[in-house]
Amino acid sequence: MLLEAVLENLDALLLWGFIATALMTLVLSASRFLGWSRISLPFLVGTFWSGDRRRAEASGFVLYVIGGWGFATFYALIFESLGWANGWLGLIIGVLHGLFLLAVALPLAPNIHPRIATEYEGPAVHRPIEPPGFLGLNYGVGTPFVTLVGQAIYGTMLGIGYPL
Amino acid sequence: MQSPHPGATSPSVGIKDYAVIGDGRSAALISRHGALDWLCLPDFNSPPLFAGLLDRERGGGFHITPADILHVSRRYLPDSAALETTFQTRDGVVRLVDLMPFSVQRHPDILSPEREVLRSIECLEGNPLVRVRIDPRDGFTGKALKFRDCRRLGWRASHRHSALYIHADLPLRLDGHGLGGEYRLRPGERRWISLTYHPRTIAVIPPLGEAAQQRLVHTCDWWRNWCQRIDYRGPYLDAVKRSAVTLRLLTVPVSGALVAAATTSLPESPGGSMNWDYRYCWPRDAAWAVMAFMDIGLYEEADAFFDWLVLASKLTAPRLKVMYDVYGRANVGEQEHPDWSGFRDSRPVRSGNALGKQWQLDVYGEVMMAVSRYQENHHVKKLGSYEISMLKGFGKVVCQQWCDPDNGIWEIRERRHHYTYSKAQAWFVLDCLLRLHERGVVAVPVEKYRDVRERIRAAIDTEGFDAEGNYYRGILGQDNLDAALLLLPHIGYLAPDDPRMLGLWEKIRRELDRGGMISRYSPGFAGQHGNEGAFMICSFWAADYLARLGRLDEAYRRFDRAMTFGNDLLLFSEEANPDSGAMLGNFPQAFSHTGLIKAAVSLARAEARRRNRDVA
Repeated sequence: MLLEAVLENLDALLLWGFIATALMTLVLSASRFLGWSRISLPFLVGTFWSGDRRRAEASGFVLYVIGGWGFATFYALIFESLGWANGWLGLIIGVLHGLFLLAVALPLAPNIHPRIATEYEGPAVHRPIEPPGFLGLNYGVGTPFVTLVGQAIYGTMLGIGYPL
Repeated sequence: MQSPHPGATSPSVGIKDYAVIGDGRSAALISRHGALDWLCLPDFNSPPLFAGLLDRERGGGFHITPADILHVSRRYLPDSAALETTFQTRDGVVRLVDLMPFSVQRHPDILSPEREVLRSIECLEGNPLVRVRIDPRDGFTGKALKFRDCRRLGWRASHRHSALYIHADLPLRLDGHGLGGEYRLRPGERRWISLTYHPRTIAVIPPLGEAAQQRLVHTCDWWRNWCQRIDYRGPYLDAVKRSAVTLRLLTVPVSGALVAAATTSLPESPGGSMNWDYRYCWPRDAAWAVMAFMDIGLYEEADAFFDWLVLASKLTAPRLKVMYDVYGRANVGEQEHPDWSGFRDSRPVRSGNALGKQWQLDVYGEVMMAVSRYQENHHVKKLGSYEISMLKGFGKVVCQQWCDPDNGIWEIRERRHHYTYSKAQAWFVLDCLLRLHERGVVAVPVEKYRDVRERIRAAIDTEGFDAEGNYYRGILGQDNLDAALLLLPHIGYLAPDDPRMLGLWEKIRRELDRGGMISRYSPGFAGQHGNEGAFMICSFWAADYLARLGRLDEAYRRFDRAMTFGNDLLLFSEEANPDSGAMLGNFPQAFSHTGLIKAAVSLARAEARRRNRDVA
């Protein structure tokens, strides 16, 4: 039922999912440029599949956008289950999503990602990537902040755009 | 016994004591005592991470130095830029290998860091003690970086939005500013220290041990393959190869830009103030380098340079700026750092270079020389429409401004003059365009260009020539000498055996020769004062001229004399003190190495001509 409702609003999901992902990417890229954080989610996603830096960054970006639509579907399911959506709700879900990413997903990344090293075993030929650490702090002290801001913008945009 | 830790600013350490390693993005200088005293990251012209070369206290360093050294020998691993230093110590023999591995993908499934300095310490004999000290600083602020222990990943420090990792398989600990440690090696034991730099990106920390050995092998293989492309069969082969490798080290592969030298502020006179930042790309120097590359069959490097030239000149076309940074930006500010002591108290230390405001007419000629050589060469692609319009633009600029005074090839800052060499290069631009027109490469206003070309020649042959003394003056109407005029035969202005050229050479030999080396100009030239050394490139130009003239014995003597001012690794700085033998100026200097290749190639050609004559 919920999925049917989401599929009925597929146009908005695709459009606003893309806009939300693009804005979040912009925030994260700007934060790298400004030196607030070295985190690059497309790089982390891309290196999951490829050890070729260029290919990883390019394919990672494509997969990241596709992933953005996937998460947008998940957000839409929440909106449909609650029966309402607006920017504030999107922001709250986005912040919760960001906290989960920082506190759970990133610290667990070395256990899932085939190319991320661990502080306990050190780097290896096929696992040379610096692990994110708790809250992604290894990638810079600004990482929790920019990740939360990026996710908050992502959620807010979906909350605003999906009901339109 | 030698002191275990002589610093760069110690009187016992000179520029000659340094070797260079690099990866085409940046370069490190390492002393014969294992002290890495100069490294800028992520790029050549970035603020230095290690700058003990310019101030032992403020600059920091990355030292791997065995205790109780008795003797040091060093070399580059054959046909590569990997440095091997062997220390005989009281307790044994240690071999140190230093390199900057290439970040190119070695294997489709193995990630590499963007920048790495890899150092290996191996015990060949005994139980020598090795001291390690890693003290990176935040550029010219001199602030020490703070390390955080990342357990088996090594040590991490943040630096200007980037991360620096030190990953070692020997114990290091926090020690005041930076990291330090002492380690006694066992016979056959080999240890690695990897410094990686990650500009605004997630770090990739390469493993040590066998994987590090693979990086060393891969990088040496890359260099050996590159050296195999060198097509040169003549005298001084080792020096020509080392010069080619050094020029390649100073070439940024992603853009094709070539930096003039790896350093800033190494003094042109001991304790003096002529301390400039050469970590930028001068179209003049790059043009000479490209001609040197083409002389020895390295055409891909010429392609890369022209790609860069097109990129850099697009913003200022048809004018060329005197210098650009590695990304083609022309506006480079200059800063002095008054707190820094400088190399052997040579103040001020400068970063950036204010030469961008200068007007140097000869640059058009040098770039035109490289372009015409490139165009004549059938191995390379033909000129595109933009390149052709750029050349035509050079003609327009020269026609409009050849009679203006300029700052000249020696970049005199105080006042502009009418340099004879600049006018000769202006003559060459038009002469070359007219020849290209005849070959159907470019269309130019022939009558106008012929007229201007003859007016320039008339000015040079009247105001620029002293009929009584039978020599060309350095500045129109002034009695002084400029060694750059030895290039007049090179641009086809005069035959090498023209009586006026012979007269000029005699005058230069009498007045600019200092102990077999050639100074660039007369004392007091263009109002210049100071006690600068003899110019390496001018000394090589003299050998080149004599080879073209067919006076081979004299040419060899000049070349051999110039070679004595290189170090044991065949590296050269900008100038040399003929009395003390000390190197002066930035190091290693691309301009000097282009001169070495040019002179060696001229000697090889002159030898071939002599052999042909003998056979005939």
